[in-house]
Amino acid sequence: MKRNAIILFILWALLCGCETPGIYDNYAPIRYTTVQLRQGIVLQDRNTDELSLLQVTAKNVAKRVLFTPQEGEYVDSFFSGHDGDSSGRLFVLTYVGDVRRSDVTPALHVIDVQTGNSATISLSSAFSKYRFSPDGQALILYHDDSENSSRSLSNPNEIAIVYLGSIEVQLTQGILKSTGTVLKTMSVDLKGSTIEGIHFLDSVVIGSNEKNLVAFATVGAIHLVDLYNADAPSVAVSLKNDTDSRRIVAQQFELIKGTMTHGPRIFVQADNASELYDIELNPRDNAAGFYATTSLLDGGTTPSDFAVLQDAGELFVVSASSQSSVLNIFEAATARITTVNLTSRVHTIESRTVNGRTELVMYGAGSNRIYFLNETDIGREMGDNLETLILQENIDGAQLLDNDRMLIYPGDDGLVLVDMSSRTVTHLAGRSSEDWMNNQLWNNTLFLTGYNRVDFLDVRQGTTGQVALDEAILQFHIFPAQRVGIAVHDTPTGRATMFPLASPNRANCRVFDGFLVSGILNRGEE
Amino acid sequence: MIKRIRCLFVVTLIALLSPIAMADRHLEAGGYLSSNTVLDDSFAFFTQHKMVLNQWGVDLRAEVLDVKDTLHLLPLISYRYATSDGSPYIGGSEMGTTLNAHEVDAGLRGRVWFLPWMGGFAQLQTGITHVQMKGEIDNHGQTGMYNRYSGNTNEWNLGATMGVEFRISPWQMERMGIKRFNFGGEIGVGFVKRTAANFTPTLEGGDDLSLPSVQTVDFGNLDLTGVVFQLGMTISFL
Repeated sequence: MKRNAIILFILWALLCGCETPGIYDNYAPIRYTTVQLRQGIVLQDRNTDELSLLQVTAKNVAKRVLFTPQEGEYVDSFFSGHDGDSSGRLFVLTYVGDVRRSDVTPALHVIDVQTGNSATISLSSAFSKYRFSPDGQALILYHDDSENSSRSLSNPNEIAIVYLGSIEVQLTQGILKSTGTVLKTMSVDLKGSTIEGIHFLDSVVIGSNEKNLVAFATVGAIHLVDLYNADAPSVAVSLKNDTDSRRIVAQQFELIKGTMTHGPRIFVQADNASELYDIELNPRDNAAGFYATTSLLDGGTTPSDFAVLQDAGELFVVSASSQSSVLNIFEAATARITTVNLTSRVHTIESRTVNGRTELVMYGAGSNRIYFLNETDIGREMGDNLETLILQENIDGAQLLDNDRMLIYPGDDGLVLVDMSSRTVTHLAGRSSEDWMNNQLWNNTLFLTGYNRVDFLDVRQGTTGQVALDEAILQFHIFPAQRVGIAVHDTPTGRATMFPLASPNRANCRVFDGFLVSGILNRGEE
Repeated sequence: MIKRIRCLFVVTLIALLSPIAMADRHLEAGGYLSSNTVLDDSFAFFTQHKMVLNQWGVDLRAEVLDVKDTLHLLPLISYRYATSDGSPYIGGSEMGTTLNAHEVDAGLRGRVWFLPWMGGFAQLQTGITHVQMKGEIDNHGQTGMYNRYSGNTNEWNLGATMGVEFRISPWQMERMGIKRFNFGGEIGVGFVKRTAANFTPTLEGGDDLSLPSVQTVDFGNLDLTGVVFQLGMTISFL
């Protein structure tokens, strides 16, 4: 009997077979990220941290691997280059997963998407924040308060400057050859603070030396560093006394280059400060260095935005405050203030060019007025030449299309086009449930994503239309180089619908399916 | 030298053929449950938990020859059918998958009866496996969405099985007055090699207004090669 039972058990076990290895159980999805490059959209595998590109051409959509972390390496963040969606480079910051490993270090990986070439730069610590210089020649890595302290100790004073021009040959030709300094790691004495923001300023001549200044904003101070001469001492500029408890952090900078009538200076607006700061840059006697002297421009209200105008060699600072309906115009040389009373509050100041001169365009949320102030004769007029354009709706948001046109998003929905040169107003879309503020703009056409459709509006002609698709849209991207729009769907197998931007209609749509599951059955061979 | 080889061949043939008797010709029909333990991990795409493809089938055999009244040779044809359902995760969602396999083989079985009621066998067979694969994803009520993948392929297979057979002793049958009929069973193990099945399905679903995809997706190759464990019942007659 016992023997029969054993035989039966063995037979049952053989029939049952083995458990599955589970290679398709709890499979973490591939995430469509919002990082867009010129050639496509970056995807991230949540299991392996592998980064792929959903490559978009005018006729095809396909997936290819861009970056695979080495063993022990984890991806902290990844981002496009300084030119955003037009960038052809992917930057990846990695850190060490297991701190016991000595063969893996924090690193910055730069991948050229076109060629597939990459450059890896070992870093002294796991930086989490970054800022590109406007010309894309330099990348600054730094720490801030929000970093994960469980990974490692970090020095908030430490910054790394990556000179991207030095690895250009490696990225374009695949040749390991740097043409100069690639990485500069330095310590900036932040007086116990952490970096709140980084602002790149234009090149400026101080004395007889040209400098490319970078301003590091901390609480109560800014620190000026010469980007391409980082060994030179930084210059610290205090924005408050030690006894001042306000959390003053510089937010907006405007660099004015020296002329015959004034030296180079920086105007700064800071959070929680009622003053504007006028920082003059003066050469040192030893020729190479410089120092700063600060004056305050206090209009009595906390400025929300400002602009600097020049007239007859003199500087005038125009500031607005969202807390009051006034405009303050400062003469920089004397700090004399002229206050202009407005009918409504202004929180944003934009600028445009009219006949080679600057014209300020000012507006505020909840207001139905747009103000215009021309630079010409500002010293004589001091605001008397202020023009007002009255709208029928209150402003919820605004977007400059170009030098002459601005889109207004009224508080009760719809869309209004303002021609700033002729001071005329056109209603493009009436009240609707569409939130036109979240549009994407291509060549005078606004595209807005709905549940399973893409609405578009031609700003020049005011005509509208829509492209209706078969399933819900997860993300919509415009690729100007390929002149196509891509609607990515939430289909598990990977699906995207493409249409030409010049003729967006359903008949021109092409559906690409399966790019996330191609070769999925070959997983057993891996 | 060649002459010697020729002589050796002729002598061996005579030795083998001379005791062959056309004895006990009969037909056999068998019903089977074959469990294939698939070796390719990708089979997890089409199964819930076990890496087993269970086949149900029938064999038809004819005993036409025996050697020295010991080794019995039975050519055979067989049919097996298997179905398997899976729910793999792809992209964070489950896909309902189905795999159906129809296998038609021809082969040869050699059998020896150690005892009147028990014997051993070895079998070789080859044939074609027709594999149908389907996958369906949830369209969440979006009637215009294509959501079904289906495809089929034909693959070659080659297998070998060996095991133990059982029957009612012929003497017992004779005592019961039953002639030319017997009933038995068998247990066998073996190995089946199948060529890889490629899944490049067509996409279906949606409605009359749906936009078709401009490209087909190649899911990849699935190898159903595996170790077989087989249980069967046999009826012999005529």
